[in-house]
Amino acid sequence: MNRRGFVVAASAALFCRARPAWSGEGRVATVVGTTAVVCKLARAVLPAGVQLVQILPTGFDPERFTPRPGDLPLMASGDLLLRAGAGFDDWAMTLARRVQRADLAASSIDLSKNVPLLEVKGRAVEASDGHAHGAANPHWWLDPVNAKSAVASIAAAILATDPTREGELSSRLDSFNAALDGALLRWSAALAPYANRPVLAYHNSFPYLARRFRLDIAATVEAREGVSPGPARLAEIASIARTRNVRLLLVEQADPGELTPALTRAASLIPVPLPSNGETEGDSYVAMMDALVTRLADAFAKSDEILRQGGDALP
Amino acid sequence: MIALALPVLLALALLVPIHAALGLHVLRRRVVFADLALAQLAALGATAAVAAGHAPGELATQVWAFLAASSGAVLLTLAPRLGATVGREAMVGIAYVVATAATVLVVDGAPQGAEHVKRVLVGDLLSVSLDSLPRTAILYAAIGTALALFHRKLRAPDRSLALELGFYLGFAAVVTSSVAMAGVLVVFSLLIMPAVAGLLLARRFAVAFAIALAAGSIASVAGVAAAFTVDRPLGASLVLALAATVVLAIMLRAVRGVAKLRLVWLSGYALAAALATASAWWLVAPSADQPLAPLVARWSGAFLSDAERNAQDDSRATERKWLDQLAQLDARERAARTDGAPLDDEMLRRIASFQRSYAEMARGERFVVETLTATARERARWPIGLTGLFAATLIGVAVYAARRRPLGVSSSNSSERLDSIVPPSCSTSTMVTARR
Repeated sequence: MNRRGFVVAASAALFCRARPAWSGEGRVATVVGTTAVVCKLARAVLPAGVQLVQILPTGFDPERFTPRPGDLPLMASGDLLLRAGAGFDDWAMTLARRVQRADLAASSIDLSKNVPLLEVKGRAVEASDGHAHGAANPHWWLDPVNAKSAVASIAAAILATDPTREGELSSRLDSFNAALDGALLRWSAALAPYANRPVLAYHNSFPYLARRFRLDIAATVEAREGVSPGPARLAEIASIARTRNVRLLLVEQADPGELTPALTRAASLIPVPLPSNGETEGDSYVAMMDALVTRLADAFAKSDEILRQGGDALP
Repeated sequence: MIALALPVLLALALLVPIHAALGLHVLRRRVVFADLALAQLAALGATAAVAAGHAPGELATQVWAFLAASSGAVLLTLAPRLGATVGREAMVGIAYVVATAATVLVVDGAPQGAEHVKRVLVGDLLSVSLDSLPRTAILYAAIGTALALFHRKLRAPDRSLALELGFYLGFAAVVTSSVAMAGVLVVFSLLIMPAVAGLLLARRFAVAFAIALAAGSIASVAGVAAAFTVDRPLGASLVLALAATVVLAIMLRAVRGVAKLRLVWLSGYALAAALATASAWWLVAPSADQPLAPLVARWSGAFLSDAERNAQDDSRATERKWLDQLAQLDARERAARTDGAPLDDEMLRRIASFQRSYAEMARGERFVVETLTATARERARWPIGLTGLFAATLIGVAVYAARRRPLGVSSSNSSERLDSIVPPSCSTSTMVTARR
């Protein structure tokens, strides 16, 4: 069933004040995922017959998301809520409570819970400024090893409600882990030549990626997440780019940053839009990371090529 | 720095003259908010073009934007002919809200749609490229020449429908281009504020235009310099710099028409009123934000005991220490991403645990500082509040007394006194006009 069809069915169920007919007692029939990445991770282990609903459409910026009326029945229909956590998608909890599903909010699975978080700032009081960086840097899924923990958490949550599916869940989990291990070797090999090579990032989205593949993020353009840099900051970043010979500016595909064109012109940088929030064809997490790593490796190769040709300006 | 600032200054050199000229005509027609409506219509056109598959910077997108803005131009032309009870401002408002709502609906299904609208509507002069300026210069030159050729007819009370339509279409073309470049806030300010400054100081169109041009140019350079020096958003800095020219024009007009001594009296009363209000606020709510607090920080701090003051200083120092520790752990983790052996997950968890603790302890220390500050203000409530009220009364009485009996001037030479106050260039008729 597509998203629109599902909204219609779920709206009807909400209107009748009844749970969807396919929901069995205690058994998960519908899983609600907040973002495209969360849903890609969930698809890796969800048993056959379990419906997966994605709240935030793919390609939209999760950190500037405002729920729409159509999201209310989607949320109300869920038996299990999966969220990225670390302050990234706290709007899901508000949405669940708004549709009288405090139970769903309370039992939601925070996929960041078992992940070693970076840039921890304590309780998310700073998140009240409207941007999604607060408790810690929330872009943990860009480290593939963290994806393993997240998928294991999803499998455990489903197993807790339906122990009869243990065999199916463990087999799907094993095959995801095996595919990820193989892919990780491939990605590490693709990015190994560029380890310690300085790059710039517009938004502070890539520390997990940098840690796993030993990329050197020389500076982040946004001094504070979600706040556009001032002219002096741009000049400082351009100066860092020149002094450290940085060629690439990593940007999120969903939010490339409004001052990226100015910066790329001023410092002869190549902007590299990465599908860091799941903006890729296909349903799998491995395909998303494949696209991301390929794009990054290609950009490094392209910048090397420009350097070899003695070029300084952008092509 | 120069690579970033040069395109901005060149773009402003194009924007200021055309907007100063258009602004004078817009103020005369009393359609101050027309550019907001036209900009929103242009955003709707551009958004619809992107939704139809065109790229944001493409020529087709700009044509869509101009066509949408042109519909607003037609509406503004026809509005006065719809009847005396329906003013242009009502049509401007309707066009604005309808365009906004339609844009929201068009953008709702498009990924990055909101980002696109923001770019069209808000713009950013920092993103202007030198390559895009010649095309803009040709457009502005053509419309500027047309304004110069028809400027008498455009100011005549009985303007033809064709002339009005031509004016609003030209206005729509300029706004479509300039809003994409500089954003609504800056374009509105460039359009209205220099023109207001010009009209405050001159009646003749040519003189008002010259003043508007000078005000816009000086404010542009000052705004860019301020934004680059103190690292603040360029658009907002420009708006405030342009607003400063309006304030300056108001002051110049006031000084030209009103006796200087009267300005001193008014300033004295204003100071007394501000001090009285701030002191009364301290008496009513000492724990709330206090405008007087920075001025009397040392005095209010004196209402803490030595032990309390030491505790406050200790808490400030300790908070800084915890935040430094937190930053050091961050730096250590960042360095380990590329230098030496990478940190394992267990070490990361330990670092995260320490960071959480440091953040909480820093918050605890901040709470102590804030609580003691509130305590000091509570204790200083009556001494500072009453002293402030007393000082405000003294200032008010002193100004009143000085006004009644100017120092060193007897009542017999009042005409001499008036001559010393009013500049020789300011005749009685000018003063009457200015007061009116």
